[in-house]
Amino acid sequence: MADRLDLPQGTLDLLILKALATEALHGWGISERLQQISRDAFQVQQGSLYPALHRLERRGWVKARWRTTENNRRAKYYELTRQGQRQLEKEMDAWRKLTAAMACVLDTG
Amino acid sequence: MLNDLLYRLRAFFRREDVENEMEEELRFHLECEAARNRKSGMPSGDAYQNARRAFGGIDQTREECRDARGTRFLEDILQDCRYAVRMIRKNVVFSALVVFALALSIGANTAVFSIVHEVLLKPLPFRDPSRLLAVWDTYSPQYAKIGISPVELQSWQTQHDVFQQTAWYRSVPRDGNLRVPGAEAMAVHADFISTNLFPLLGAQPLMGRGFAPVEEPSSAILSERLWRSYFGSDAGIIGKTFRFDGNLFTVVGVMPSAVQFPDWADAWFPKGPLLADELTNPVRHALGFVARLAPGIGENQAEARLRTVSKRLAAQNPSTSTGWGIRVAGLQDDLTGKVRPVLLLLLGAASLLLLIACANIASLLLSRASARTKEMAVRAAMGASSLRIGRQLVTESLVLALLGGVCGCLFAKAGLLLAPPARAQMEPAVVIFLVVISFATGIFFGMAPAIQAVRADPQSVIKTAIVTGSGMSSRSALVVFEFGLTLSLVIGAGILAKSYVRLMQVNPGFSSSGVLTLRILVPPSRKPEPLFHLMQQKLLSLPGVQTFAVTNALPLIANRANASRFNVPGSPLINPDSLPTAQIRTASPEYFQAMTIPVRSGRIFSERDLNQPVVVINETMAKRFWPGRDPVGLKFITGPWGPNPTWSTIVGVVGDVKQFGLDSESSLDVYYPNLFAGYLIVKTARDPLALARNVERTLHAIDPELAVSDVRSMDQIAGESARTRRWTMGLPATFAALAFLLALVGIYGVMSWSVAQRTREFGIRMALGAQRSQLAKLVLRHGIRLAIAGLALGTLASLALRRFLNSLVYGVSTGDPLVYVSVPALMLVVALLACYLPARAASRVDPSISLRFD
Repeated sequence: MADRLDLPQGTLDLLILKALATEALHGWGISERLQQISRDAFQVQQGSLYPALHRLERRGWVKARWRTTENNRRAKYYELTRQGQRQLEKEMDAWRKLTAAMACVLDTG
Repeated sequence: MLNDLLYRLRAFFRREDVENEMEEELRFHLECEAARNRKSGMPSGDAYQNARRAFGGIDQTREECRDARGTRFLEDILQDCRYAVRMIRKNVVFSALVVFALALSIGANTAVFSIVHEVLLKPLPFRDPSRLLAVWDTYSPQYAKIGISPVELQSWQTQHDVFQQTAWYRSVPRDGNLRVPGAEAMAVHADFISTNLFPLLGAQPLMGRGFAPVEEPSSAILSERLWRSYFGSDAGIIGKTFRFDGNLFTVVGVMPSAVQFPDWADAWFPKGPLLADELTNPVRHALGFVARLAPGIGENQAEARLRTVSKRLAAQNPSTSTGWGIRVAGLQDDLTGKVRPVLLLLLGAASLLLLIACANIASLLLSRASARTKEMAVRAAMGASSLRIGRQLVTESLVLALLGGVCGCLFAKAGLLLAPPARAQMEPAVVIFLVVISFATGIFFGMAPAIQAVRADPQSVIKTAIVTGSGMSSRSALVVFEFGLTLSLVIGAGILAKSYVRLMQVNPGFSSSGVLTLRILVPPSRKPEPLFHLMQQKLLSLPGVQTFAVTNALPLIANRANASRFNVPGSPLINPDSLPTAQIRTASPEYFQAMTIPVRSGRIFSERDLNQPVVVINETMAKRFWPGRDPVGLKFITGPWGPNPTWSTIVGVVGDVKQFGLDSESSLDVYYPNLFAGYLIVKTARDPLALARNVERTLHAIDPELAVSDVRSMDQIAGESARTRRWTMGLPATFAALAFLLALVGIYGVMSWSVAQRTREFGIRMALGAQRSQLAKLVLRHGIRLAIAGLALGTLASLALRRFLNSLVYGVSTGDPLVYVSVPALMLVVALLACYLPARAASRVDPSISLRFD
């Protein structure tokens, strides 16, 4: 895929929250999920996930817990907190409004 | 919010755990990615490589994760501190010097501040103390602060719209003999107070109760001090009785020492038969007045009202009001007014010392910083931002300053043990002050090297190892500043020292050598004459005793309350509405001989003069009222102020005696022949204190109810009366000496540093034919220029600051030309000496070596 998009500023947090909306995942799992749901549309440097995850954890939007994987490895799983859930809804809402408005502006012309 | 804080705290304090977890997490990610790559058929070597590539810069991720924790700032500080400690340990001698200089100056400031805080800043321990007012009378020119009269009291008490409440107390102690059966008598200061004095102040008794609005005249409140000392902290004291000058009193309460008012009182009585005419006689001025301002009324409004009232009173009684005025002040200002200038002077001197120490350390750090330029340049080249380097340097300074603060705290504690008001403690406010000034000094002296480091361009530093002159101007400025401050401190101390020397040269008018004094309270039932003769007979028979005399008040520490008006009819100096006052002294005939007070004219008393209307006056009074004549044999009126006044005959004139301290003005003194024993004077040829035990024992053998106190030699009294002066002179002088030392170290440091920096230049000059002596002169001229600039600055500063000394000097002008010329001259000479060594070093530069340098 030649024209993969760089993530707009501030959207990585939203994507992570969205990825965690259904189930708890570890870091690599989140990066896999992001690839999946965006159908490889975004160019996400895998390493940049972790600072973002740690920041979200500090803010209390995600909670981290060490669990064992199916392969019996120890891994750090992240899950959405109630606060994170609310944040996700808020940001999704804002994002939708923004895209709708942008689309409206761009289409009329 | 809480989550955030907990997260950061864990990240900071469990740093290692958090780091390990991060490593494990990142490793897990790479392994998962590699495993997937392998599954899709990649060779295992490539699988891992690809995983790393997809991940991106792993070190960068680590750093970003650390940033994301939000503890970066703290960690940097910790690292800076660790580094600072390492630097300090690497330069032990330098650091120890800096810490010592800081500890001295911070310690001095802390000690002085804790006294200032205790005395001036801390609110009085009363309810809403800022609303309390003290009002006194003034009587020009002698009395700046004297009790109010009953007439004033009555009219002020009714000013309900400006005063919520008013109270009075007897402004001077009523001294008496306190005694419980079976114990020795004790001399105490009692005070009569209005029953509402303590409620007005909001002072609660420690035990028992305060006075009821209408109180039995025989009730008494004890001070905690007296309760503990004389009554042995008796828990059942309430309801017990004691005798005061023979009168029976019942204890109703004990006042804690924290709310002691007035501070000299040992016991308080309500209005009663022991009180004389203080509350009735319109010409007595023996009452202290305290008031609580009514809500919404300011001090100025109250003062204006009192002045109006006083004017009206004066118009009604012109004969007793001329020359009188009032002074109104907040109670705290009133109580501390005397020590305020002294304390502020000490605080000022201590802060100057601190500033000088800061300037000195800053210039030391600057010279060390120039030795560290390479280190800084390397750090900058390694990627440290210049702000980061600056912060590192400031942290180093702060660590030094805090070390100095800790040691200074110890110095301050030691200093406070020596200081006279030992009640000053290291209270929270003082500790805050200590921490704040430690931080402030650290930042202040750390700023200069930090700014220099931030400005430095790493490339130029690495390229050229010699940076001639960089930092020279800021160091020179610091030296000039330091010299200027030091000069003003030394000039101030010089003026105070000169004033002290003047004071010590003052002739007190008597000889203190061999004189023992004892204060004595005689029960009122004893007749003075037989007692005197008994004491005279017994004491003169003691070995070593030469003379024995009695008087009502001692020189140097006399109370101004022992005064009375007199009239010299026909003298042009007399204004019948405003009669002059004289100090009243009673003396047994031997008094003048015992105190070695010279007779100027006429004779002193003999036994026959007792109870006769004869007086001896002092020289000042004789010259003032009988100028150009010998007043011996003349008469003047000494009261009482009724229809039949007493005319007293002057039988002699004696030399002036300093009644109120060495620095007091000459008073008008009238001596009456009397055997009343207030103070005993025992003159011996030996050490008077060695005699003290024997004299006391003899007195108790004569009459066990004699209360003896204040057993001191006249030399001790003279020393104590000059004590405040000694402190106000001694401390600034010590500070000035320290400052001088620092300034010398400063100028020496700058000069040797500049010589070291200019070695190459000197080498070139010499190679070009300069003489050694020329090089030395070059250095000397530079040093002298700095010193002169500093001295000029300091002279101007001293002239600007000298009015602060006005109230503290005796017999010296605050602009004393001798001090203003000799101190700068002396400092210049010493500065020259300090520059001599660097100058000699400059003249010994070997061109062949210095040019090969580097």
